Amino acid sequence: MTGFLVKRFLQALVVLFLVSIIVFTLLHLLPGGPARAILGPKGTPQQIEHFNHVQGYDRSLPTQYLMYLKRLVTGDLGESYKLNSPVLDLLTQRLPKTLLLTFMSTVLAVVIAVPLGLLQAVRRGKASDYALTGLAFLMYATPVFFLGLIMIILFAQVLPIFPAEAPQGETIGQLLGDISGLILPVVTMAFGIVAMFSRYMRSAVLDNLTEEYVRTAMAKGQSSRRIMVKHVLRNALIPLATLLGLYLPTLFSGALVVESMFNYPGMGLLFWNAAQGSDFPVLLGVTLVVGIATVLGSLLTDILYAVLDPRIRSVS
Amino acid sequence: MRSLRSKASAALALAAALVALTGCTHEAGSIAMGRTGGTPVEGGTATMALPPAATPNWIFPIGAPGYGASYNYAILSQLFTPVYDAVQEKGELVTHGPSTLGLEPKYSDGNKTVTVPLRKSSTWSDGTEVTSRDLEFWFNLVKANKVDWGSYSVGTMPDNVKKFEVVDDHTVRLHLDRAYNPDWFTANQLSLMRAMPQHAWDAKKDGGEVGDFDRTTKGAKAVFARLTQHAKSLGSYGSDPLWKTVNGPWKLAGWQDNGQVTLVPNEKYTGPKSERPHLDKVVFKPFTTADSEYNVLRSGGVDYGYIPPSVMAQKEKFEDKGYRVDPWEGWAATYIVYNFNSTHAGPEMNQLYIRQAMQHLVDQKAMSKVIWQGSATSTLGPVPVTPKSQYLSKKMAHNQYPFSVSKARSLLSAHGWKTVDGTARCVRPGTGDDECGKGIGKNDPLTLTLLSQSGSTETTNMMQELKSSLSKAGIDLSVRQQPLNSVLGNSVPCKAKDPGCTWDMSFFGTAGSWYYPLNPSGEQLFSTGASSNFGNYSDKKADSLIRAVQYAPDMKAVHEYGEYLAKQLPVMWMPNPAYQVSVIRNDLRGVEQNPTVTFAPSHWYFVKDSKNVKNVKKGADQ
Amino acid sequence: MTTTVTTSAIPGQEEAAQATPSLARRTLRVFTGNKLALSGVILLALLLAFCYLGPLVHPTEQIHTDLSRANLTPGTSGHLLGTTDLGYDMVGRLMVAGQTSLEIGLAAGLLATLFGTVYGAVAGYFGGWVDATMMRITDAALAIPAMFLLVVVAAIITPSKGILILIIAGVAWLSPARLVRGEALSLRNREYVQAMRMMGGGGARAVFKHIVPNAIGTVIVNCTFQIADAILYVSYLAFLGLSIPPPSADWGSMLSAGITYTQNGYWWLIFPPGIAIVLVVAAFNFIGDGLRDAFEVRLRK
Repeated sequence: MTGFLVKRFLQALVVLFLVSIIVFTLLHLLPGGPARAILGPKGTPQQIEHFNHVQGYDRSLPTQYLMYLKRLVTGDLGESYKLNSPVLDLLTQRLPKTLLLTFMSTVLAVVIAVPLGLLQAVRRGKASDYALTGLAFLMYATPVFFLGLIMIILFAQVLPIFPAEAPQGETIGQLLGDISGLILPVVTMAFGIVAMFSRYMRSAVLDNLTEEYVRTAMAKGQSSRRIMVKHVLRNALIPLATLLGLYLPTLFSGALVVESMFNYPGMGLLFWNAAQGSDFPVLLGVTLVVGIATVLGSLLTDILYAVLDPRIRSVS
Repeated sequence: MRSLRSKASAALALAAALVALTGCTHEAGSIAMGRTGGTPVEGGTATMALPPAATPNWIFPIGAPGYGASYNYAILSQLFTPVYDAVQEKGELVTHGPSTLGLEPKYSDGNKTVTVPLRKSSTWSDGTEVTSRDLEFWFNLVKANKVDWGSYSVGTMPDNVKKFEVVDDHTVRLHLDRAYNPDWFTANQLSLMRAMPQHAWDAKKDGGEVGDFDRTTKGAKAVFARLTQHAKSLGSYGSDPLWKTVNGPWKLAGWQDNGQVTLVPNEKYTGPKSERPHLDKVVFKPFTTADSEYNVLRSGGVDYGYIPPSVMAQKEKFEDKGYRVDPWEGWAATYIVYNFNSTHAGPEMNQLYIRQAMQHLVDQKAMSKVIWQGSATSTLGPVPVTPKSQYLSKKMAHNQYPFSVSKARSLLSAHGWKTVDGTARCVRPGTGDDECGKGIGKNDPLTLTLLSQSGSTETTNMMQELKSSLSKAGIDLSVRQQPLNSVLGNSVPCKAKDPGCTWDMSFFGTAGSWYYPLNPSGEQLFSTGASSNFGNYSDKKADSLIRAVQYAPDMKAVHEYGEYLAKQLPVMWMPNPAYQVSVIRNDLRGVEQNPTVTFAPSHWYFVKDSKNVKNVKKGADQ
Repeated sequence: MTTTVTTSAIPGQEEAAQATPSLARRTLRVFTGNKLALSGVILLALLLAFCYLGPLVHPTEQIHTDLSRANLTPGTSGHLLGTTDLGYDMVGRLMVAGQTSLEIGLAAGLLATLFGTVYGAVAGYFGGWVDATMMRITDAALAIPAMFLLVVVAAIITPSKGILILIIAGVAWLSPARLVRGEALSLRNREYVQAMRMMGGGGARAVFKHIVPNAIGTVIVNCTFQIADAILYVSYLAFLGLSIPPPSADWGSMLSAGITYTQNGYWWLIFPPGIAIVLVVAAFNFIGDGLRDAFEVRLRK
């Protein structure tokens, strides 16, 4: 077990290293670097040169990368060009808010998706299965920003029940204090996830229904409701829980769009604004944090799997 | 890449429209619409919304490169009175007035020396008098640290000052490296000067003694480094004692991490009475997206906000709710850069008649009216046509190249071009008067590539409209939309046949291409080899006229320069969008929308109309 | 935006590999028996007819602007769905934009599947350090959420049709790669692959001759979902400001452009392209789902 963990951990480190290289390279594809974007059309060649020198952009890419890594080891993520504050401070302000949004949406999605998927599986091939499956696919097929727009039109305009903007509080407490403002963003984000999870639940339940133990239980004459809850549901839920870890990137992607739509003050919005302004240190910082979260998520998933299913250990 | 914001804002805007439709309207105020007038009441808080991507992030009067967010300068000018500034007097822009520290500058010695008298009554908030020493302090710091100063370019301030002389406590004299045009020098050079509290800031390290350290280069560098260090700590602006010594009408009451700035009147302000604040508090509220601003504006959370141009069609809805909709005209020119060195179309760009034909195909009026919903004005030359100024001559206000497809066609056919299958081709190569011109070969097509800023519906539409109308004269324009960064990064000055010199035209003017200092001289834009002359326009006469604007002793020079370049088309003139379409609570008066994008909250006041105020406030609660 | 889970839950791949004519017929029967799948096919056919045959029936000017006819409301002077902010007929624009969306989606989906399949097959066949290296690369790419990557890309790239296809394929190939790699891992220990190795058969041959064909069921199902996702990506890219250069358009760019005018109540600029995207993506998903069910053997018993 320890050997497996150490191996997985080392793999995770390698992945993080690759993530930083990918992002670093991508950012440096910008023609002329960020200097033009930061200094604007009025920046003189001297100022651009000076900026590039101070920020190290006049050195070779590998050298710049090594410098970045060196600072990274000491926990220094650099300073935002636009916001005049350390990237680390910005991240510690914003990350918890994104995690809150993601967490609430996921919980809501699971609460809806599990019974939905179960129902579909049980009614397999019947009209209600078709209807629910069709609905799930329609939800899946709706771009999050279109869905958000429909939500705003329906519930903030035609029926002005909820505000169209997320709460703007500085702390998590303040955000939670304005729960009505959270409803549209959370629901919008949850919708997309429901579609995926309910499909997963449906096939997981169907798979389980064909397993030996279910047949045995049926043969023993146990009630189908009891079988459902005791065997099938439980066995389908365990992998669903571990799946959440793997879904983190998709969840973060959704959060980015939702945050931009509803002006939710999370990391996605920070990232979006940084991209508009070529704020490289912020872009790098956010991507790294998101990457770390994702890698940790999948690491946890693997560990969970290993704990639940000893066979994995020998294979991996 | 404004797209997301503007789209999301639009989404929220729909909310506005629909809410209005569902009967949630407010009674119109009982006071007449207007920018001024009314019965003033003292006190009150005004909240102004700042545009996205312009979060205030700098307080030190010497701006570092990259900290040029439009409002930094405007906000710190409330704390540190500028020596000279573009101020509005009776609707005209002038260099000094009650709100500036400097009085009328005097030029002598054949315009090679300028004497700057300072207002005498001014004191810092700790009681110390504002003197020439404070100006000298600024000059010493800037001279020793010019590369770290955002406003520096080679040959201008402080390079053009040979000697900085303190005449007495309230007079300084600058000995210049040559004769300058007094108007240009005051408007574009002296306006950079600031008085800074030498008695409080001139220390090499925190807690160290205050002395005359700025008078040596080494000392000036150390002092500058210390002040910059403080300025790089946005979170501490509100509490840092350094920024508490001010001489402006306002002082800082708070500067949040997100850039929200709160100003309260500086009760120790000793400037002219007309500059003393009426309000109790002014809040500058930054928004990361225009949509959130729109939402807050609708709910009455800001008194002075903005709407996207596309909402101009909904103007009446805001007026019904007690707001005035007032586009804020910018002191700017908007244009598409021609690349005269383009490997691909350099010879064509160099032909005036081709540029004239193309200008005839830009329907600025229709673009301003339909695409910008009336919030843009035509650009007719380098000098802004609106607002009126002494820089504009009668001739410049006249459009020399009105929209006309037939004129464009005849210009081309008169010079040996013939349209075959929709594309104009040169059939008479050569350098004669009725021939295509130097470097243009037989059968060469008139095809051009335009790099254009992406992310704005208005810009995308303008470029599509342009492409469509150019095609009517056989000019085939392909538009490559790129993020602003890439457009700026790709359209750098280049030489023909260089690998990066394949672009023909470039546009980055969604928010105006170029904001001028007070004097709209184009030395950075249109003189040969200038740093922002991205298309390498080069014309001997233009160069000498531009030099004259800087050096000649009178106003005639700027008129000649403006008229000549309006005709010569160094760039393609395009509609100049408003700086923003402002929406201001109608009972907030005295708001001058200074085209150089500064403001004077000291002049703002609320007017008596309790009923109207109540209505608006009630709106905020709903 | 990823279909990893939905598609990885296919238990019937192995059986599909040994498909016999009668099994193929049965597969077809199951597919046509699936009402959702059938409605997906019909929906797709209708959309294709609208986009490709529509312009023949309803020819419109989609290149030259006409500012004098901008923003006409639906029904005005023969414009069934009104006009855009530049005076283009909305119905006609939906047709040509649909062609672009479908073409980009199809090309990107196929490219992603092709590249991902080969990548996954190679990794799975060779195993060991080759597999480890290749999979760490996919892990790294997966660790950066697609939208974050696209936001950065949108800030640096000049879009064109080809570039859009490459970008979308660039974020979408990961899921088929992982799927096929899993297949390959299990197949490489099969007797015929083992036998081939012993006879000295080349790696490439084994990959293309046995592993890819054996994973074909998974690949086809995944490809359908990939196309659906790719069309979604086209709209997300437009939302981020990255779309096909005008005067061409795709449904995503039409939707994004329309949102600007929402406050003016120009609903006809928003809902038609939005609904078109939902319908076409759903159609592909219905078909993919039907295909998957059809390939599943175990549950049919």
